[in-house]
Amino acid sequence: MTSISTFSGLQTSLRGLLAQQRSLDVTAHNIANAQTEGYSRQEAVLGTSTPYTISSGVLASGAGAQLGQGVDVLEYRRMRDSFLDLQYRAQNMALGEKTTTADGLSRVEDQLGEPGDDAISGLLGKFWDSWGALESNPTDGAAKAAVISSGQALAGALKDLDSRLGSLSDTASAEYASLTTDAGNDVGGYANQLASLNKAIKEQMAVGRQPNDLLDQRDLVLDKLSELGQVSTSDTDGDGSLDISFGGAATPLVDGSTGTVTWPQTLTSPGGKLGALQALQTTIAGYRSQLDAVANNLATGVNAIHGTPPFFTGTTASTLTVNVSISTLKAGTSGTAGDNGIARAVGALRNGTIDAGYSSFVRQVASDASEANRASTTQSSIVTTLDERRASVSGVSLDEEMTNMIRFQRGYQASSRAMSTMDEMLDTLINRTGRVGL
Amino acid sequence: MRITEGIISGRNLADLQRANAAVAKASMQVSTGNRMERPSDDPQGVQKALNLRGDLAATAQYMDTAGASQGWAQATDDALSDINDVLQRAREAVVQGGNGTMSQKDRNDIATQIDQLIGQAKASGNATFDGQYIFAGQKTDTAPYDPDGADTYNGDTGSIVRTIGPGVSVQLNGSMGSVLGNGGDGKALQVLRDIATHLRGGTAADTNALRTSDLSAIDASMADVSTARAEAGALSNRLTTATNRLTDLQTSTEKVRSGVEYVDLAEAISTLSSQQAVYQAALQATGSSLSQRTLMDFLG
Repeated sequence: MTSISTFSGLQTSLRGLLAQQRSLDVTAHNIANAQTEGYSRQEAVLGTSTPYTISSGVLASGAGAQLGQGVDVLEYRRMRDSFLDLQYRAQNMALGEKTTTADGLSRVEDQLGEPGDDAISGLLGKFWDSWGALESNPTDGAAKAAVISSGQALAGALKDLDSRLGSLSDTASAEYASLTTDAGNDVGGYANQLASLNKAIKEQMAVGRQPNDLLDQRDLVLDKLSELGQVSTSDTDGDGSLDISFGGAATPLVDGSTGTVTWPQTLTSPGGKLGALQALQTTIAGYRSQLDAVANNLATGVNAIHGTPPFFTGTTASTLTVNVSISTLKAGTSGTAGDNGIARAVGALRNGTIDAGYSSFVRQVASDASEANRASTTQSSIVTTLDERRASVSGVSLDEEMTNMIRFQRGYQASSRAMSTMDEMLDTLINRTGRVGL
Repeated sequence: MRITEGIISGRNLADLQRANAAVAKASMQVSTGNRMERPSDDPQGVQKALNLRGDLAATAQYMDTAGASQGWAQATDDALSDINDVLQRAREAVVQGGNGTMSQKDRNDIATQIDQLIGQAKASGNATFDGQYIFAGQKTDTAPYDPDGADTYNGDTGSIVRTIGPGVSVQLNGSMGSVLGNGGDGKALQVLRDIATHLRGGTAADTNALRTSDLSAIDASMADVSTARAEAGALSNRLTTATNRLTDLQTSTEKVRSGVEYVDLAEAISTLSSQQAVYQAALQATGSSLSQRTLMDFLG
């Protein structure tokens, strides 16, 4: 009968002790990081140690056996669903885009101040009112002065709104530039972090270590980058380092194998916040041309009636200016004191295409902003749901960790009990056996 | 689904924020009375509100114009009434002067009286409203008659038009302007001049003319005036009707605008209190979930 080492059981118990201790360590790590952003819970995966094979003579039949040698830690596993990560980043990009759009458009609608008496709709009404007053008294200097001043107020308000829209567009453009052009900031900064994390991860994986916390950090940076624009990753080398493409740029932002960061680059389809900032500029330019059309309609309509000199000069919101003085403002074509033909004809423009053009412009801005708000709210709840699903896989549950803690504590206790039992047994063998008569 | 503390607290926070935002919106609606805080709250409503505001401003403008026009019509009627009085007194003088028993001196006195009446009639013809001569056609800055000079009409035949509604206009002067005439055209001024001449003439033919042709001419002039007054009255009626219609329109437009722009206060207050209740409940839920006991409380 082949003999088995007397101390084999001690070794088995020791493995048990160590394995339970490692598991407790992981539990402590989880608890400590329960509130850490981007942290994925970990677990020590336990498995039986390589059994001790005895070829023969262990059993009564003379056959051999494999004897269990206890437990080992197989790996420290990071609980993460990479499919959810992909979904999260795609939706987070959309969220970045939609919140930026909603934010930008609500700033645009703030500039309108509609409906309000001092906003352009109110000033337009006062402009028509002043022509109506001139109609009732075509030679009255005060009525003429009122027409001119209300025309100036209207032109001024159009110009003011146009320039405020222009500066909103400039703000969006400046924000885009600050996010993209500076190599150290934002996209560039994230790229550098990703490159150095890639390098560290590659080094660890090359020697067979699973760098869980580094992977968490890299995923977190990718999450943040995804808010700014379209991110896609691939592990082409299979060494744990990721090639990271961003916003349709020609060269990968971060090259996994060489660790090169290529930034700044021209983005063809940025998506995310950057895409929204680009689109916002186009949208605002559209609004400004609608406003220009209103100004042009106003100038064309009034000038066609007023004749020479034209009442307004300029055909855009920013250039519209009242061109007449009290002496050149005409209430009627004939110049006879009671002729109010021009005043009546201009008054008849009231609530026509000019007002309708302006109110549909306001409606356009309002419904765009409203749509963007709705989209941003919806997207935010989609991202929240995905975040919850990720948390459901990766998040630390304190109840669970407590339960595990008890589990591992008991396991540790039981292993020590097994060890002390073994110890007592050996005590009997070593200290008491063969001491007859002593 | 595995639930973690983070998921619960995140949900609680989101719910609280949502509830709080709803309370803020409801309380804004109650305190301002406005249904829309910003255009995007109701894009269609904003466009409607802008159009309604435009309509209201236009209605107010048309009411102003109609009011001023009413003043013009009133001034026209007053002036025509004065002219009518002048003609009435002239007619009495004609009847008196046509009496064969009257001495030439007395006739001359009456003729002087007629001369004065002519001056008065011209003064009435120079009536103004808001600084504009109402009988001068479009030459509203020119007195149509010279009270001390020739009977020539210095105005023109241009029409005075006012807009009292979208595409609705009225003419303020009509035949009213031509009752006094241009001198030498058979109208009131010439009739009065003829009467004065016949009174001073003293011949039997003159006296006869006073009794016959002058009397009928002055009756015709008075008929002209009453036609003109009827026109002025019709204008005034039309303006009154228009003003009433505009007032009705203003009231109904205002009502529609209120519906678009303002909240129904009772509804807003009940929304506010129900949103507050939701918020309270969310607070309670959050509080109790935050202070919830965990497994740790039960482990030695």
